[in-house]
Amino acid sequence: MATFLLVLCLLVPVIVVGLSLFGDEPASWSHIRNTVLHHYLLNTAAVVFGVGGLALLIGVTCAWLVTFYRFPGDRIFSWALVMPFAFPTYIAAFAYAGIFDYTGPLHSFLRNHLDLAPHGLDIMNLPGVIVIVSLVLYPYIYLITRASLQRQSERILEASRSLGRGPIYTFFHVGIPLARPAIIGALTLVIMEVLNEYGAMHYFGIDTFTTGIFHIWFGMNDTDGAMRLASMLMCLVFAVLLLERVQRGRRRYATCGTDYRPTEHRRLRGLAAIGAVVVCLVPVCLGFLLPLVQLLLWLNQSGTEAFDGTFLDLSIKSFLLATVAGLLTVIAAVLIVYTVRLHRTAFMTAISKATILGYSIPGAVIAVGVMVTLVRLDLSIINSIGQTFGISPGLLLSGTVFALLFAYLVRFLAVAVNPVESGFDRLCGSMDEASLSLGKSRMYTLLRINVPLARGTLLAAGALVFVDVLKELPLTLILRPFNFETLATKTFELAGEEMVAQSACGALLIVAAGIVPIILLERFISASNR
Amino acid sequence: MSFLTINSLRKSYGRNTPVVIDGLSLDVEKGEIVCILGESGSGKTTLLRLIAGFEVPEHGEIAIDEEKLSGAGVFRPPEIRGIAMVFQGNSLFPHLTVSRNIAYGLHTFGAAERGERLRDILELTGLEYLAERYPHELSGGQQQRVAVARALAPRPALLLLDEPFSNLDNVGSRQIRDEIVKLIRQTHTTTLLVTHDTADALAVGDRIGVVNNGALLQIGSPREIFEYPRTRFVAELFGASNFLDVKRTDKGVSSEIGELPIDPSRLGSAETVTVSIRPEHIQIVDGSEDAIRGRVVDAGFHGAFQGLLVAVAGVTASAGEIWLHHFGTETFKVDDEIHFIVPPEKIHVLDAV
Repeated sequence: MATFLLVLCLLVPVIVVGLSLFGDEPASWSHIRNTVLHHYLLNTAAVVFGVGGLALLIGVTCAWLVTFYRFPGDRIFSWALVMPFAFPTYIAAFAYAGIFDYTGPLHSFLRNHLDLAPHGLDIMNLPGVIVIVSLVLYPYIYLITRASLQRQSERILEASRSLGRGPIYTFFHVGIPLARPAIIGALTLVIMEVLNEYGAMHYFGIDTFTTGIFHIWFGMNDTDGAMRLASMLMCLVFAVLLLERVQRGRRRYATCGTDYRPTEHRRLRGLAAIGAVVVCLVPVCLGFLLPLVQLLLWLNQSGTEAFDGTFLDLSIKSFLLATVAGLLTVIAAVLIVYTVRLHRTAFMTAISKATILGYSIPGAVIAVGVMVTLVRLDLSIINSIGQTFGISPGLLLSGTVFALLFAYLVRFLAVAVNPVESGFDRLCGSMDEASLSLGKSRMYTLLRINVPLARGTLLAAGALVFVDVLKELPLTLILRPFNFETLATKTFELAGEEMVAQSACGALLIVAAGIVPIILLERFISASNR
Repeated sequence: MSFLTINSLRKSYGRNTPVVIDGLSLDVEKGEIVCILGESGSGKTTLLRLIAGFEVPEHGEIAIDEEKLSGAGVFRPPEIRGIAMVFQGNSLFPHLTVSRNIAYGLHTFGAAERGERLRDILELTGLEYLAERYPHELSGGQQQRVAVARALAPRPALLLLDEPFSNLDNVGSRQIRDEIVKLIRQTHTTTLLVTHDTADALAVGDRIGVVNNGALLQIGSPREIFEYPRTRFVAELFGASNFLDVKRTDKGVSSEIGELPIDPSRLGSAETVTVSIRPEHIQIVDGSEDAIRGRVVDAGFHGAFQGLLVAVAGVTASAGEIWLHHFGTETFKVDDEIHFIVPPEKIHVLDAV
């Protein structure tokens, strides 16, 4: 019941957006449809397919190499490949724009040392944005695929070998299909992240659905038109999710086996080893080291002037906010997933699917959905208190940190629900039932059986939300209390005011903060696998 | 030369860990079903994994048809050994239907032949009606039959079964066991089966090899192993028996229950040996001169027979006790006096340790 109420609350902003689809057609809509809509659609489709494909290629290939083979540096790559995750797309985009800028290091080097003046090096376009965004988002796929491959029952892979199939055939016909639900889940996250992307697209001048929503909303002050565009986007995502469910069909992937032997590691030698090192090195360099070097160069330029006392204050606030949001989100995700697991009714499953739709809706739209809801709630509270006591308490919920946390919960629930669900899916259903039949309550079973067994995935879920909240830009920009700055908003403002070098300090701190949970996560995963 | 030859095989996992397989040698003839019987931790699963090529032996050789698979610088990967393994528990591919699971290993067959082989196997195993089901839609017994069908489909040179009947429920397990064995017999597949269940081993194996602590203690036909266990360990695997220490005396051979009709020459050079006398071989008789006299200390009814623990008085200070199974209609009670004889040919002398 509590779960049901929670789900209902989280759905309100989504419903607000969804209802706009059925309202009257806004006056400006025919103009939008006739002029820019097909342009938005084409660009969005190109970015989704481009980033999805490229991230899938990088993520799955690296996960496969790191899980099944030994080669020089494999242990380092195992965690280094997650590092680009620390880069918010918009910061990577600023950095790459700087690298390829006419006055940037690349052009300067070519001009001064090789006497070249290349013109084909423009990256401020669609292919450029696809490559940069893929380089930062592939860790979603890498992390989740690797975890899934590591958990596969060695017995099943050995069965394939004993039937005369080599390791590569086994990987493509047994390993990948068994990891498919996890991979598709990760791909769904990447696609949603791409659909939400605002900072990088805006900076590179690519008109997608999301920048369109911002443009129509804030540029043309047409809230209804923007809401309608957002609700169309929501339908699109709903179709993708439905497709994913349908393609699973009657197959099941949970293995209720007893022996999870550590998967075997084959040692690569010679050319194969060099190839593996190169394949793993490229995404680490391009997705992490190169933009990092650019940020460090900027930091060196701007010196220590940007690094003052307000910075510490800013960082502590951002960290606290992200930690609390991560904790709340994981708790909510566990409650929802466990309730669905206990009552596998179509109704509960549909409701839990609906809550994670929050992630598909651009952060700014959720922000407005939350804002509208909370302002209405505030007004009714003010009215009733005013009538009873004759005083006005002022706005209680909107414009506070509570509003921000609530919006984060709506927005990032999917980030936590997906891994929590796959973590619980791997647990044999009979374990819960054994606990219940031994007279333990459902809450006891959840806390003593499911949570400890899935603690790896729960921690992973929390870390993912933490990093996402720290990076989150549009939602924070709109919902933050007056004068409340986070690292992300400060960095974005500086970069937008063409003070890119000064923004490097904040950007580096966001990146550094993103690294900490990655390291913890890696430690924990490798420890629990031993 | 035997079909499968295993020569002084040795395996341990890491330097400071106990040896799992300790100098084990074994020969299996073509078309034979050999059951490896042992308790958990005896190393029997490791033996299968070494043969299948999932583990590399530290020492020793494995060869099929005089072709070396493991040992002395040779290691052939599992996928080109032509050895199929059925794993303990469910190892079916959960994302493939029954027929696609079975067809999985048929890549060496031509396209037309492949379909034919699949149909043959489905027909042979009687699994046609399940062909389009997914593994999770099958019962445990059905899953196990599919697993065996999948292993047999590519006509492996050798079939390895790891505890194939352990996950089946008791009622249907014997029927499924018999079906699976019939299938293996029909295809004349050389088979090595690992089990901890003596009843399964006795029913299935052409020969039984008993393994303990990574070493082969004894190998022989089920009757040989059952009737003539060489050690107390092997004898105890096949149910409770009476073990008596006997020694040579002036008159013949004596034990804690008195004189036993054993030819002293059977003791060899040893002064004392242990003999095994199965409870069902002891016969209750009316008082006669040769009979041993005793008193019933414990009696329990087992359906087909009555199990009696009999104390034989007056031989030593602590009276010797012996179990016997009484198949007659007469019912004995505690404290009844009875007379029994032990047929000389049923007294089995164990190897001196």
